[in-house]
Amino acid sequence: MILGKRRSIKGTSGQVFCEASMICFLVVLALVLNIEIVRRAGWETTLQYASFRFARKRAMGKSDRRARDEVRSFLLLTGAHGRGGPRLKWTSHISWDDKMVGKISTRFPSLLALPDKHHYEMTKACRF
Amino acid sequence: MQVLVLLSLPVFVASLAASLDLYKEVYRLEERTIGVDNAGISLASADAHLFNHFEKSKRTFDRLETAHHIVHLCARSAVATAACLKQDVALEKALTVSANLLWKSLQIKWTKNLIAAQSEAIKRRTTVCIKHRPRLPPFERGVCETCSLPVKWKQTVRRPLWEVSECPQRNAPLVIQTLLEKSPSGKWWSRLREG
Repeated sequence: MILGKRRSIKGTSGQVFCEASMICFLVVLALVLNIEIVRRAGWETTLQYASFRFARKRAMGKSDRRARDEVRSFLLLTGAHGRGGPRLKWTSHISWDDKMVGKISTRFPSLLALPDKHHYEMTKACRF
Repeated sequence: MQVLVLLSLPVFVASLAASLDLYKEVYRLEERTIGVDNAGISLASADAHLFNHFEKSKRTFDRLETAHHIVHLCARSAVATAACLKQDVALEKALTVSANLLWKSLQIKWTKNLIAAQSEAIKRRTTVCIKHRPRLPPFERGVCETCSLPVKWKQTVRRPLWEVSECPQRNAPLVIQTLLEKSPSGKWWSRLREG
């Protein structure tokens, strides 16, 4: 009886440890995933708004370079994209239906470095 | 185990809620910008149209007024006939009434343009203030030196430039300028400029 009890106590502590480890793992995974989702959402919105402003400035007659500089300084001012961040690639053209299209793309490192995927590419275009 | 997973559920959902807020914020900012831009575009194109209408009316008035001078001189001459006098009075009356009508229609269109611009902004759930735009149309009537009729129209603002801004201003001010310019062919056209 006593031995049996002892065995059961040992079994319970092992189970708790196992469950706690699993929960810890899940929580850490959830946190990492959350951070990644927020990070990606941040990139998405930053690029989306930047491409909108870029296309708007181009449509209002500003030169490609000037529009780019102004949007870049705006991003710097708001802290959306700092100096050390990944490089942004800017392009603008007039579409077939006479609309100004501003396009920004970037390549940023993934938080979870998978064996065959170290970077994500994101492109956002805005027609103005 | 289940309780702990349930307790950690908000951690899973937190990022989705935060991302949604971020998207909504950017969407709202873009919508506000488009609202201000649309108000500016609407106002500028309507005002350019009004200026063109004014120019056309002015030319017509000038032609009619010059043509009226012959009858006026005939009526004021020493050998004035009854027919000349009658025609002169009728023409002067018609010109004055037309000038009054033109002034009234310009005033109505001027106000209508402002309301149309503000309604464009309201469509995008924002409100705009318009600065430097006179309350009345920037045209005035002068008196003709020959016949003293108040039908010599002229424009009082040389370079029409209005400022359309979001009202009340928020942390990121949205201001654009609408500029009316005259092309070499004499037509008014509008363009927007960032303020």
